Amino acid sequence: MPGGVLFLAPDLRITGANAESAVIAGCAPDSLIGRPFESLLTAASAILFQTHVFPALRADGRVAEVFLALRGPDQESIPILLNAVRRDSPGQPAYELLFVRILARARWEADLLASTRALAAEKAASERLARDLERSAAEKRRLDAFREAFIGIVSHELRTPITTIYGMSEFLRGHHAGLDDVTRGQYLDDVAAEADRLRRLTENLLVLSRAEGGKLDLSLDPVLIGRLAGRVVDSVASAEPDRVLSLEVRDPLPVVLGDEPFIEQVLRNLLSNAVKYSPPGTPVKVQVVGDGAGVAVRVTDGGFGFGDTPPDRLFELFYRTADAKRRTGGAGIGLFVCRELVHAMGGRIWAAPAPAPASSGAEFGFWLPAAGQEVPDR
Amino acid sequence: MTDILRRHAVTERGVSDGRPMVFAHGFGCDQTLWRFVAPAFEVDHRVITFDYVGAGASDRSAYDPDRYASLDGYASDILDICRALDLRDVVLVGHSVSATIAMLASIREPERFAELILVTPSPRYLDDPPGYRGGFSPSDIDGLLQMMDLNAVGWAAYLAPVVMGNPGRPELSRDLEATFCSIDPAMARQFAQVTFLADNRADLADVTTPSLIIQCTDDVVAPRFVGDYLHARLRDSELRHIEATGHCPHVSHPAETIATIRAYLRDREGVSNVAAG
Repeated sequence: MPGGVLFLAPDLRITGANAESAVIAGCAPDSLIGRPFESLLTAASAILFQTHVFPALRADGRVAEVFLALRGPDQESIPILLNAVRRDSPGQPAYELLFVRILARARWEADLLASTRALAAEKAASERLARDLERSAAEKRRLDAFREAFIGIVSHELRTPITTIYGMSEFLRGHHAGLDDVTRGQYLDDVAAEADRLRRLTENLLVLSRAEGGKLDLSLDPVLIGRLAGRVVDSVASAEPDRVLSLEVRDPLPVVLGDEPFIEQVLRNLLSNAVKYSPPGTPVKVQVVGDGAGVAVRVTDGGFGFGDTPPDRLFELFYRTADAKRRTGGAGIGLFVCRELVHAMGGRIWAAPAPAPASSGAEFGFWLPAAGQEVPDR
Repeated sequence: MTDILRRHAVTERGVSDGRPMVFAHGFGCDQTLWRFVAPAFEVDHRVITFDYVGAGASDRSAYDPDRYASLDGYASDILDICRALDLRDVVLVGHSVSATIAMLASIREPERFAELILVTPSPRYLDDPPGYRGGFSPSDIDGLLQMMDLNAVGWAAYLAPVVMGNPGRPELSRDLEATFCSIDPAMARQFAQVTFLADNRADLADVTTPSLIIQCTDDVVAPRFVGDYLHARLRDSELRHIEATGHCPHVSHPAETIATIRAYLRDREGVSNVAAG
């Protein structure tokens, strides 16, 4: 008989054993008689036997293929596969057990279990990989779209002022002697205006490429924003002599924390938008108001506004309303850059219809936090 | 209410206006394991058996690993059932870990329970040297979990006899209309962890319900030391050693188990009658 056979009394004490069972258990056959069966088992197997196997055997009359471990003479674990039946006839043992030693199968089952776990881990890893791939694919699509739009803007928005500057300066070189002072002055003003436009666009593109690369370095210092606004408004007003620009600074203002050149860039972008998207003759108003925690700068124009477009969309990269596209050229970069810069400085930016009593126009504003106590006075 | 009864496959038998007797099964099986003992009390009791979620005919979709991350979740199950059936003056019979669960339930709503019958109980299965000998080391419990995993690999084979039945044995075929000792492997694994790593020794002092401790001879899961330990710390407790060997006297020695519970309840009735008189 290749397997061990044990007969048990109703109380699970061993009443009979074949020679092989003693060989498997590593003890003398006689020593088995009278012992409770679970005393042959490891502690773990004894629990499993008492809690799972025996109740099933008693209730169902048999169990098959249960994995258990005997405790060998040196306390080593001897894996076995147990089959057992219950006998109800009087004069017979209550339970008959047949078990085989299953080193190979135990290893096989342990391997199976390990490979099941490894498979689950691999599945999780490949799912993770697939998610990462999907993410990088999405990122690549985004970058492709970005590059395409970028090239489109560079080819159009950069080329236009360069063409103007080049064409006008060529014209001036060839014809300056024949032009009167006023006409020459107008040509030079146009060249200067186009150069300024080119400069702003270049600055915005620089911020944009740094923001895309996640390398938007700014140094936050205390800034007197009322003074800065005065400077910017004066500069824009002198470049746009036809427009009425007004500035209202409500003192006292807290000192804000920000990067002065970047604040100036934000305000210039908002102001040039206000001028660009409103008819000549309508006023553009800049208002600087402190609220204790920081300072808000509002630029209000009397233009055609942005209609039903959700305000947040206006700050998306390359986004331009259909109305704006129809009326004038542009890159769709300025407001995105403003938002990136203001957020990087810990502030907020918004767009809204111009406040009553205005019936048209838009308000673009931003708010920057006050420098607070921790910033040393300069 | 019916949700709770369905969730736990609650079964009611016996005398509908009799004293309620709730039987809670232990780790490793389901309510069918009480079928050698519970029917004996149907003549004069309202007998209630149930399955914990994940075991037997319970609603396995209701298994919530967070709720059952401690024995308190199981105690809540017992209290849910008692509330749903509006049970009072309950004799609560718990086997093995359910003895601990029964104690926890009685601490939370002592007014509901009259007697606790603790069948092979243990408040802590792990040794805690030098003073406490629960019988097991942490590596034993790791071994048990591994053994359960290995048997879960061949789980279908393990359950095959339950499902296939035995054509030559009509009483088994009849039994097969119900499933025996069928447990969801994932539930069984967490139940094993929660059971064998639990330490409820500190709760014993809070048990006020009188109790009977039934202890077996040669029970590797709940050794003699543990029975004595419980008896010394449970106020108003009685300890009965029975001839039965092993951990499941209600399965291996049902007659002796029934007689022991009956004798205890009779004695206690005498006590309460004297007290009432």
